[in-house]
Amino acid sequence: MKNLPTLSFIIFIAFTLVFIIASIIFTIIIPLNTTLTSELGIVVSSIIKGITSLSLVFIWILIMQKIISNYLEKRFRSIH
Amino acid sequence: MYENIGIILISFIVTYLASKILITFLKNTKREVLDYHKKGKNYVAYPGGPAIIVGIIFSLAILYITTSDTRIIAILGVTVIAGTIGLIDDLKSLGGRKKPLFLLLAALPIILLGSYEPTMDFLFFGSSQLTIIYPFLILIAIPVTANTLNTIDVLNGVSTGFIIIAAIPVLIALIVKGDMNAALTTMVLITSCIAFFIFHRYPSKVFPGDSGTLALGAMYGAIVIIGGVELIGVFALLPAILNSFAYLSSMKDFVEHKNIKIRPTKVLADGTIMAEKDKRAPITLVRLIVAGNPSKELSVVNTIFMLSIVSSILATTITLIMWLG
Repeated sequence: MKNLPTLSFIIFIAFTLVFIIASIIFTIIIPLNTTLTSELGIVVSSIIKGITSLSLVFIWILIMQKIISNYLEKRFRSIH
Repeated sequence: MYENIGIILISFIVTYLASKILITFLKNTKREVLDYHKKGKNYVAYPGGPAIIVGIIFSLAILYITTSDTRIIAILGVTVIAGTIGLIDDLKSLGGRKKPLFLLLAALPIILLGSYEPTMDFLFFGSSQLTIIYPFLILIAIPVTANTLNTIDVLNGVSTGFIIIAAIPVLIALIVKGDMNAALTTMVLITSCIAFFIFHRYPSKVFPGDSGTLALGAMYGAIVIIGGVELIGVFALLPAILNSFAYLSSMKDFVEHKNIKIRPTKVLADGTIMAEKDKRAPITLVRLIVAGNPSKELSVVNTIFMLSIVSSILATTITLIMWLG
């Protein structure tokens, strides 16, 4: 259980980032009104909103990947 | 009230008895697999998933008869389809790429029965309408939750123990929302898992296999979608989600555990688990736990449960903030 505090902190960072990303998606991106009023326009704006939201999720993955890689490197370096 | 307690008891008793019968059958027919993390050659009955599925089918069928809520049929459909795909994979490997594709089918009962509200509530920011995107999110969410639980199922008792802990914040959120049918379905999930956990906990007498983990993961996903507590479900599942994404991003492909060239951990002769230092090895939660800290299997299992408790506390905190707000 030696690594539990550090891993709990990583979980907390992941949680905070999900929270921030969800706040951006649900308070800014989704409610955003566009001037496109036709049916096709609504579909296009939905796709753009979807892609933007997915990009934010991808950013979350990249940040977590970096944090996890750094953690692993530090743990391995500490045994040498 | 008594009906509800009865349904919960039935899910426990049926899963417990089905597990006992199935373990005896699997042992007698030599359907066993090697437990890699034990000293010597220890074989464990496999797959035990059908016992969980039987328990869930029985209790959800009774729950549907007493409530007539079609959402229960959708959850039952998702669980049975995902469990069947898992069972096919247990008996004849489907391969890492085909499995997520087949799991798209498991999401269909929710979409076809229209058992969802295309809105997402987010704290005090109100709810967002996602009429067009939401069905696509369902198609992604069910394979993701099913595979997420499947990926974390590498040590004795982890998948069932993890889902028991992760389902508690979902249950609290549903009770706070006043959705008692969805809360009862969550109780069925929890009690079935507890009954199976008696045999699955360290040292395991049975492994759930893909039939068990995919069914439980898909059912968890279906409950959070149908109950409208998606974010709480994501928060509670964070350690498993991190494990999945770390694994996928390090492997850059859907590779089955059994087909990994360099394993993420090494098991020493005394059963101690050590992290693999080779950079080409996949990153998994277990590898992160034992990195620079070789540990016995039970200690790693307990650490995973502790991490699950941390994320469940965070998820419950969000529920309480939403409730007070």
